[in-house]
Amino acid sequence: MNWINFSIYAEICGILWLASIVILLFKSKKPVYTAIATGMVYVGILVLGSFIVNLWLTLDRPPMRTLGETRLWYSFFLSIIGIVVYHRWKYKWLLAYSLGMALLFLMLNYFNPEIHSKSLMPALQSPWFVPHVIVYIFAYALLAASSLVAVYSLFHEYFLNQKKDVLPIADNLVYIGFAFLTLGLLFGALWAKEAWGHYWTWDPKETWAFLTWLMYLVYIHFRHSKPHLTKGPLWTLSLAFVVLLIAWFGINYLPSAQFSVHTYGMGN
Amino acid sequence: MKMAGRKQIWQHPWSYIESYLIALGLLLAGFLIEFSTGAGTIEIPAWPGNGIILFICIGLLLLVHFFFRRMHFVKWLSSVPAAISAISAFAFLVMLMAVFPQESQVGRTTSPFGFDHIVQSWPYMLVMLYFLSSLGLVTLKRFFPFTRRNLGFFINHAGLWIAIVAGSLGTSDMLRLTLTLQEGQANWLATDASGLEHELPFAIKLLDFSLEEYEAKIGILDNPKAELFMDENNHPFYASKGNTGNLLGRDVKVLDYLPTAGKVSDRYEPFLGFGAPPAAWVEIINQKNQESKIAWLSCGNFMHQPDYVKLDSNFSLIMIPPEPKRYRSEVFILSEEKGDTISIEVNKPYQVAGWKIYQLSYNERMGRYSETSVFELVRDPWLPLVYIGIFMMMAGAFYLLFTGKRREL
Ligand code: HEM
Repeated sequence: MNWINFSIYAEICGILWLASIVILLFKSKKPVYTAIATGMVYVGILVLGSFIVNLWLTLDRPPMRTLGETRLWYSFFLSIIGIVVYHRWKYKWLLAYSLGMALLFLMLNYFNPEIHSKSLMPALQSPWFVPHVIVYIFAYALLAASSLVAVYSLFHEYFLNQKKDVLPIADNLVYIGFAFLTLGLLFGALWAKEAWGHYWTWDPKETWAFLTWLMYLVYIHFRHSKPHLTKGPLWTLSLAFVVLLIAWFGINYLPSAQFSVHTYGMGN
Repeated sequence: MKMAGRKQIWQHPWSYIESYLIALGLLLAGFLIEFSTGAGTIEIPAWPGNGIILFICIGLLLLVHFFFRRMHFVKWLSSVPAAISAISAFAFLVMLMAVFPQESQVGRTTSPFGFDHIVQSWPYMLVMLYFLSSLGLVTLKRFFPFTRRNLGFFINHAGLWIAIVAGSLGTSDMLRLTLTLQEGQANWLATDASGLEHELPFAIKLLDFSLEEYEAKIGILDNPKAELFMDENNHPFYASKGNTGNLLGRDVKVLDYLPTAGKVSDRYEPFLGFGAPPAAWVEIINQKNQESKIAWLSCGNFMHQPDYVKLDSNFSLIMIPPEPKRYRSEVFILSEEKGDTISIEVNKPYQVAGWKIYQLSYNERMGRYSETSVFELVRDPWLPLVYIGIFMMMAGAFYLLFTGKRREL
């Protein structure tokens, strides 16, 4: 295809990030190792970045037209957000997680070269598409993590009769995740205005995402007013996770319908 | 429950029990009013009515804040329990919207409790009143006196209040019209959803409509059902020259692809004329018996018959009509100040005289040969206010991102 030498770039980047994930998850006690791991993340970002620049120059247009091109940006920005959030909050598993997601998108392109050219309908060809999706991926990852932490702690409390003080961790995850979720909703609104003429139409996707947002809003305020209660907030987080799952699968599911049989009826 | 302590219910200060009872009461009252008034939709008045409502609301909030904030009731309204009960009631209504299809706008509803038009129902109005009073009062409480420490709090809470209020009050001033033009034609009248014509402060003339397509795909047609057949192993693939795919146990290789072609006896040749469909020259090898066959496929269009290959009594190999990659209209816009030739495409609306013009559609039957373009025209005078709210919330989100939860002792 017209993706000049993509496999070389993808291999270098993939090996660097994979190594970095392994170090972050298993060898992360010594500062030297973390320095090496983050260094490799940066080099990987540079490698992928130079491929994108190269592709942009050869195509003579921003590479944002096909699903494959869009995946490049997911990989690129997921790794960047991962490293920025890592520097601020020092969660190693989160950096590993975002690198894993970035790697996944990179590998999808690597192993399915024909999918590079899968068509994007005109409404999706927008500079908002990539930030909107990435920010959501990130928000859902963090919020899912917070809910898992909550379920873990409830399990210990009810079945093993142990107390696990996980709420400070959960709080941080929710705050950062909630911030990303807010950005996702708002980017979506700004994009919808450009593409469809109105910023909010209560379509099912928007509605479920907004409901998720409200659930975590309850959690944030409940924690603020009753800092010493544990079970209430933990149950709120678990319940929010159920709503989040519906929103998540709703969001992943619906746009895919646009690429299928739908368009066939049009020409006939 | 521990939090109630020795306090009797309804004894001040009110907490969660009282707040949730009040939220529940508002919901019940709302559904009862909705039921007894016969399922009409509530319309927010247009300008200047909505402006007056906004003015009164802000005035009332300021009044209550500055003169009555020591009342138990007001203290409660700006407390977290009230906020959480309001958010929960709102969430309940949003959940109804997520579950029941919404009829949206224009009269005609069937649900006696308003389930199919939540945002225009009584329970929604009452809950929003509660929600926005609570949010408004707590914003004021932390805004006067203003400290830097409260900056994050203020942009988040005020931003949300502004976005919701401006968005809700603005709906009745928003106009969404459509305008269909043929190439060469001009018009300054556009129609709304109910078919009413509105005069625009400018005229639009369609100079040219153009559409770029992706390459067509090759797939399988289920003959009896007359629809596309697709599963895990049988995915349509692009008919690009040299591409190969595997469909229903046949290897299909594309020997040549012509984006626009003309049929000459039983072959296709490159052809640029009006209505020329795409065509592909393919080699089909049956994996079972290695039988090979070479044929032309074409999806046909509004002018031409398709060409396909029958594989067996149920399935045929077909070309799927190409999907649009981008489409745009060259238009001349004549307003009082000036005339401008510009191009409008999806995701790139054009702004003129308080209106935004969107590329909406075209004659889909004719595809790339469409000489018709459909525009949507939107006027939303409250948009700047909504955007102020949105940008405040974005700033607030970044603030949350970098401060995280503040540890209070
Ligand atoms: C954009 C959405 C919102 C965000 C990000 C947000 C965030 C927060 C945060 C972080 C706090 C902790 C207080 C602090 O900073 O010291 C807080 C407090 C509070 N929030 Fe919100 N909130 C939001 C929406 C709302 C809504 C919709 C309401 C009411 C309906 C509300 C009512 C309150 C109240 C009453 C407090 C306690 C204030 C105090 O104790 O001084 N918030 N909020």
